[in-house]
Amino acid sequence: MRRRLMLSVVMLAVGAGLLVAAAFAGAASSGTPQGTSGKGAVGGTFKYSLDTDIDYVDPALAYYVPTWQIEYATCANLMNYPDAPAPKGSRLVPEVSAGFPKISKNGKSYTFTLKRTYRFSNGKQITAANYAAAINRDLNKEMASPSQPFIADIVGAQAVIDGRAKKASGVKVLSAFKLQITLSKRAPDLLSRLAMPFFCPIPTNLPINPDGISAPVVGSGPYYIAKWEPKRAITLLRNRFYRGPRPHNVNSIEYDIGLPLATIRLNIESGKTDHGGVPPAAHVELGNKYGVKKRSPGQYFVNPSAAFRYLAMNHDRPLFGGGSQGNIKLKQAVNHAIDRIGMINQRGAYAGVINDQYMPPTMQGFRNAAIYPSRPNVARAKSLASGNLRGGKGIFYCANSAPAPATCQIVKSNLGEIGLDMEIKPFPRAVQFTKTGTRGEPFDLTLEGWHMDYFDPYDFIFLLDGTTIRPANNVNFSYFNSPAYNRKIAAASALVGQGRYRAFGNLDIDLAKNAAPLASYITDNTRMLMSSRVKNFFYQPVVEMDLAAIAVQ
Amino acid sequence: MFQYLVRRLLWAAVLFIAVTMVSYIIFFLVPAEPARLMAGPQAPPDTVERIKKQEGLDDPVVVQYGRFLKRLIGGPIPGVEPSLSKSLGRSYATRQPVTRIVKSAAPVTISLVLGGAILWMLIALPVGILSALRPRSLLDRGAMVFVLVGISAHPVWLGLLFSYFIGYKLGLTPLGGYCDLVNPSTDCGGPIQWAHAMLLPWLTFAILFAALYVRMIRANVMEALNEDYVRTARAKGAPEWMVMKGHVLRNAMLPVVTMLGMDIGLALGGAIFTESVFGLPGLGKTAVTALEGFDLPTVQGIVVFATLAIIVFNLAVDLLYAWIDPRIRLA
Repeated sequence: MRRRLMLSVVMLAVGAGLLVAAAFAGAASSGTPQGTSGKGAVGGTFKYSLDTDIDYVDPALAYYVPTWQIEYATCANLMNYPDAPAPKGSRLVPEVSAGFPKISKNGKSYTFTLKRTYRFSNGKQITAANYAAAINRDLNKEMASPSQPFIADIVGAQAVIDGRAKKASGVKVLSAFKLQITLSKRAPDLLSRLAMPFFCPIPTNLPINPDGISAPVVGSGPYYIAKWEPKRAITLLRNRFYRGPRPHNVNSIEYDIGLPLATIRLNIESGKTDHGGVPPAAHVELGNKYGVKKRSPGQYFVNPSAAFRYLAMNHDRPLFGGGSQGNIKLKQAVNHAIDRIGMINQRGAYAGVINDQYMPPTMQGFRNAAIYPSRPNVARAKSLASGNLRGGKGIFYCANSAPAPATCQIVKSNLGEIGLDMEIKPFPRAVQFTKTGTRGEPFDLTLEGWHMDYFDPYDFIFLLDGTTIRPANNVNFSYFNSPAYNRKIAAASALVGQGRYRAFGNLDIDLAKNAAPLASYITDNTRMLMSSRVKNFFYQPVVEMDLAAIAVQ
Repeated sequence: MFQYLVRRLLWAAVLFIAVTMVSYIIFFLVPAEPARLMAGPQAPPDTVERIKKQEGLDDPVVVQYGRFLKRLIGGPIPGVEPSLSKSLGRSYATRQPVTRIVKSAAPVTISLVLGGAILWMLIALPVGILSALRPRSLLDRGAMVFVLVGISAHPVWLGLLFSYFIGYKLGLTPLGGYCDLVNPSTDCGGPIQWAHAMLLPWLTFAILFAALYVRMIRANVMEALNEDYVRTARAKGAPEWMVMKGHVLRNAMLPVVTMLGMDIGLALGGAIFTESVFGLPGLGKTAVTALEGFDLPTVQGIVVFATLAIIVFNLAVDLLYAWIDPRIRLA
């Protein structure tokens, strides 16, 4: 009996001791900061499913939204956008640059002083030479990087692009931590352009390879690309040498590639993956099931993106063209005639918000002027069109993949009401884009869209800059070329700060109301489904998905 | 036999040229701009022109086709790096060598097709034979319903159903994705995980063929059972299993062998539907992605592989047929 009692006491003591130990262990594992975490647990793996592969892991060549999201997590740029929702997330701040650059009096020379605390994932310190190497590699003729048009205004850039030089004379490494970039003309949007992932710092000995480098890729940001198995998987791991202020909550980010959207959705809902695309028809159900949120907590998030869709009216053709600003009344009639709500509905639930202007509402400087109606104002459209139909027949280029054909049919029907008979010609999207970008192509109207390359209002208004028109590869699909507006665009481009944003905001309204070269109808929403594990999601307005800030339970 | 082989190989070469030429020409009729695809949407015209010259995209279609054939055989081509000799060229979309793309996709399709073939034969043989032995029985009628469903149901629909009920609701298998059998390139690999991930794709892929083969085997066995030699064998007192093995099946399987070889050869061109539903990075899915992006070299590479597979398997089937059936002489 005594023995039994002794045993019980001993077991009680052991059990109590274990309880105490467990309490301490639990506190320790949740309390160790491994990075600024926000509201989620630190550690774990974030799983992301892509239905199609990324294009490259080479910063000089990557030009695709998912790849840029990866590069936002793996790059430390001179200037960058904060890990924060709008509006803070769309305000450019210095990252590796110690403050904003010193700009010369003529506005053409930018001198950056770098912080000394940044290191690559291989431990090497990041210096001015790494940024110079990135720019010169981007300009290299063999690389044929899509970044070249964005830095063609650097002094000496054209010589490198043409193969006559190896380095641009306007990119100078003044010292280990001082970099100077000189432009051929003033361009206040340089800093926004330098925040693009093309200008991620690279090792100075990174080879020229027009096929692109393969993983592992040395990273300068909170993560680096440890593995890329094309069409199969991507792995990002923490950069243990990163000492910057950006968050790095999860230990790793794992991508799987190639599953269809329906399967990805099931995987998200069962917790096998944390995020990925879903079938367009699923959004109604998801919104009803999870509720529509903008940020965590929640699982289904809808936020406005920096993209818009529109009809471009070709000013090189008699129907909408003529004079310096074209057939203004007919173009305004088109804007009054189209059923914007009907067109948006073709894209599925929560697809976007009505927008009759040319900048998205998230862009600095945007002011909502509510110029045109959401539903057709047939009477107003008819009165504007009257006497301006010029035969009333036109050719309408349209993509042949959903939802474009249905959208184009709605437009055709709307314009039919005001006396315009549009013949729809469908093409595969890539073919349509090429054709409408070729000057002289015989179309009067085309259905298009534009997603920003960098976060500056010029990246939208330049779609109407007549000075950019060339024989092929145009993005000014309306071939709008008004000397007066070209001057206004140039004047706004030369401004900086709030003055710049105000000027572009005014120009946006002026163009939409008075010249109407486009009939815009939607600013896209980004619709995202996350698993229940995901914490601390917010919509980063520039890259949309902030991999560094995400946390999982 | 030797003469027959030589003749077949010559015809194979002619067929190969015809198929590749037609696919080349079709691509040229489509108004795509591969140079623009490689340069990016914002590239200035001179960059696009430079890429056109670099890749020889401004040459006439006949010249480009000739260059493609020469590169395939391994001849030196001015201006083309030696590593691209004896290759299928480079993808316009990813700039990767097409040979590498096909080499990485082919094992996935081979896994799917061979595994699916084994499964469909495992289903079709017993069901077809038993149906033939017990015509109009419950088993026979059940088999015919299975045949009807198997032939009518689209593989995409079947795949999504299996994915939802077996993968998602019951959680018995992954919903999709591929695990390497050997040398895994992702965290998922090895024979067990490979087989586990392939269960649903095999089942989806096999059902249509299993249904067709049940019908064919049933009909062939029933026909063979009515032959005189079977009646004679039974009359001589041979046990039923010997009659089945030695007389009925041996004759009934001849057309099955032929069809099997041809179906496997065709399927190796890319089981597009099954690969798309389950996200398998095989030839079918690669071909669809390449077609959408007007990536001619990748499409050509897959056409070459598929053509060769069909030619090889057809030849193998013909030789096998001659070996199995002594009545056949390869003239």
